[in-house]
Amino acid sequence: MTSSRGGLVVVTVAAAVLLGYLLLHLAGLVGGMSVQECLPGVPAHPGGPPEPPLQPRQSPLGPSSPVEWRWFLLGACTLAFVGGHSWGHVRADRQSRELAADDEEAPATPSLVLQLALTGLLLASVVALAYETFAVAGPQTPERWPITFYARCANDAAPWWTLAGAVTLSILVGQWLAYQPRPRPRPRPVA
Amino acid sequence: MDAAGVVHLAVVVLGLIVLGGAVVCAGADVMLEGRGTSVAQRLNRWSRRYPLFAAGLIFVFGAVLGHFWGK
Repeated sequence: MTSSRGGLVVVTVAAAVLLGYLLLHLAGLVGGMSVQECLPGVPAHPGGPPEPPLQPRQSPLGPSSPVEWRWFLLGACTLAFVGGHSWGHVRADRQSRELAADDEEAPATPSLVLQLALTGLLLASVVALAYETFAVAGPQTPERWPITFYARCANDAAPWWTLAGAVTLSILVGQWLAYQPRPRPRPRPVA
Repeated sequence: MDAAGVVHLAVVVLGLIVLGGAVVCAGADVMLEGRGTSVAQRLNRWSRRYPLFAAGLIFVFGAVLGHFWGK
């Protein structure tokens, strides 16, 4: 097994563990995540201003920590993205060396699976954007928050799990966006 | 279902969708690595073949991310 494949397996297993935790949570087999602290109080009057999720009372890093949680989260994700990006460059260099020059210079027709995956991604984006537009424009009750508010609530209700998920995603995205094939030198014509 | 139940379900389902997609793509990447290629390389080839479509996709995702980070 190459080091790249070993690293990929580790990151995939990490993401799968987080996914398993969420599935167990959905089944009610594990606890430890309360969304109560996200829920806003009763509006002063019906039809009042939108109610965003409340912020947690205390930072997960503790009350005496000199670092704010949001900067810690941003820094960890940035480091993970840069690390994944560097890793992706190493993979791209190795693959460029292994591939034939013709293969690099004339891109082949993309596979059907890739085209279907991208189409599905776009469709999912359209659905998410449509819901987001609807939710932002309408009354923002907790039952119909924009997706953004649910993501913020996840950060408030389960900060360490959210950090682990964000770091894992940052590594993967940084690695996938790093691919830059290096042009290989053409063989010199024989004089 | 009360508000807390809806929010709880939405948070968990959101995480499942995002992480599920990541696990599927990462699993595909592990398989492709065994064949000497990668998801990144295929994306790179696709974007070189369809540069305008890739630029549009980047614009949409950039706008979405910008919205998520906005207040």
